[in-house]
Amino acid sequence: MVHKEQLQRIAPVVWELPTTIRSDMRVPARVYASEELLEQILCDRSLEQLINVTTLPGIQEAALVMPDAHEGYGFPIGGIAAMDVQEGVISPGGIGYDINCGVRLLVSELTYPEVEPRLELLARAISKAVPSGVGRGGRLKLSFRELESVLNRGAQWAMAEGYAEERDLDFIESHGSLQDADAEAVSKEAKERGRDQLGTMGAGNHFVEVDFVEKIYDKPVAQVLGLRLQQVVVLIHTGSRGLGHQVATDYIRMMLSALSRYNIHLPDRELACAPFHSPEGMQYFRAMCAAANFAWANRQLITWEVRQTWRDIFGEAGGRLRVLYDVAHNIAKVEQHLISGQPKRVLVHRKGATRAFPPEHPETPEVYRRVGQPVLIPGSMGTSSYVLVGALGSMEQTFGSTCHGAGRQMSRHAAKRQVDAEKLRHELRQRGIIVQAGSVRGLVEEAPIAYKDVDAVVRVVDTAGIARMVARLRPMAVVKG
Amino acid sequence: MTPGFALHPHTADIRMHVWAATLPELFQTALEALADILLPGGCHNARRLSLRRPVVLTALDATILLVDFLSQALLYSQVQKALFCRVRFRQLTETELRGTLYGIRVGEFIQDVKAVTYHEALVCRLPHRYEARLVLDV
Repeated sequence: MVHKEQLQRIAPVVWELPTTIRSDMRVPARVYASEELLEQILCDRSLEQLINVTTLPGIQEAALVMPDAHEGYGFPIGGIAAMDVQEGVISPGGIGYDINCGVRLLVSELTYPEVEPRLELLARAISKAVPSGVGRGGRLKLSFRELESVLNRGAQWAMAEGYAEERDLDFIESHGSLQDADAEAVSKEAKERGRDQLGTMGAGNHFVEVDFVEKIYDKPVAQVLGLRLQQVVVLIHTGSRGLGHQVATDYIRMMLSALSRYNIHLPDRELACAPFHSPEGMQYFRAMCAAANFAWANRQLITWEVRQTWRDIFGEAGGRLRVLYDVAHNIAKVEQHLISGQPKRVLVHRKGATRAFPPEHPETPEVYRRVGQPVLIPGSMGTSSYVLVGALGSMEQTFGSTCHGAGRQMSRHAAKRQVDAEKLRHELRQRGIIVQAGSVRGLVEEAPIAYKDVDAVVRVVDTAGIARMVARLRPMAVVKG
Repeated sequence: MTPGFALHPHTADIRMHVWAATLPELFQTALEALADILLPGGCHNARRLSLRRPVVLTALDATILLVDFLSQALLYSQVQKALFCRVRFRQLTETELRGTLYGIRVGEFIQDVKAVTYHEALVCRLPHRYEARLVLDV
């Protein structure tokens, strides 16, 4: 168990566990948190898990965890680790089972008063159009050949099939298509598990949410992003579904059996890894990229469904739903960062962490380049979500990364014991929030009480200078499995 | 001893504790626990387990073998939209398993299980019994 006394405060919201804490640490572990959030993080085993991450071969500078951290398996959720691409490893546990779980924000031309009278109708229609729940399939059941095209091309496949508008892909991280993807690296079992799941939301904390812009913190940046007060937006949160889960399962198993070959010793089997340039490492990387492409195609299909619904409800007067941005928060990417002052290519693992490139980064869409890459931070059901932009500190401190959400603080079991579904639904309704949930269980497990205070989480990354707050979104309707 | 299982809370996932007198009973009980998470009572209500799937695995030790066994059952469940309630072993050692899974089609589950993880997974052989601890990503 890590104790608060072992942490050294190195900046107002940054804490460090030095390498002297445990003999197998290769680098320090750093925690981004306020005092209050730190106390919460210390209540579970997130920091033991973060220390475990510091032992991985090839890790650079420090293992990091964001203020939304909580205990995961292998890596903590909210964890970031950059590995030397020559000497370091790739670890599926550093990406997670839901590869490229991520968030997309669509912005409308309508305002709260224009949408509110038809909100109930809209929520019901989205719930009907976007399949959700456990094991539910979508409108498409792809042949293996079609699925391989999805895996190799991601959102580009969706564009070719007519599920995307012309400029959508410019506003997706990596244009929604990772070039290193190889469908051949994805097992038949993973393909079987995912082939009817394209265009589906899934269960758990995944959702489609209608929000409006409640507050703007940075007007000039909001203007560049095309956000204004009262504007109605749609947030989509989902990932690579069963296909991604199976890719992770397959490769963790493969890498476990290869550990002795590479003389790798781990404190936790779920950190199973292989040298990035080994056959196992490269094969997993190609499969992970393919699963990430599946997730981007998935969010694109859901976008298509939401757009159809929007048109059905509001007609021509509804205008268009523009993709503001789409970010991945469970992924590993090869990027260039300054390590000890020198540019170096590293493999950045982000598990429950979002890329947050600062202004002038070439990978940020041209229209946003002078303000920074948009960062989308969903809150828990019924609480605010945030739009931020990457700030300079992200490249100096966190390998171009920031937090990914509110962060869970209560087990699903505890939430079920404490939350009354009907009371929750009523409370949300009183606050003007309509909930369309596939199950009572899904509703109570995702109650706001089960999550940390997203406002506090976002304040930490803003204070640390790794991302800047731009706008706060308030939910109007939540559709979930 | 009577085999059994208990589910314990975890911040984002489910911890599973399983106990039984023998290794085959331990695997059978863990399979029942997984099915009960996916669809509570689903196996209890099943009259005839008409679905069959072969399972053949080798692993470095009993812990990895149990995780891999449940992962295989989960995969079949997700692909077939089925619940696997029973396993009949032709061979089961701490590193090798050959058998058949028996289940029923159910259409939908109540709980999504993304994966059976190796995180803190452990199979212990104690005097007169086996115990297992597992964490499921849900």
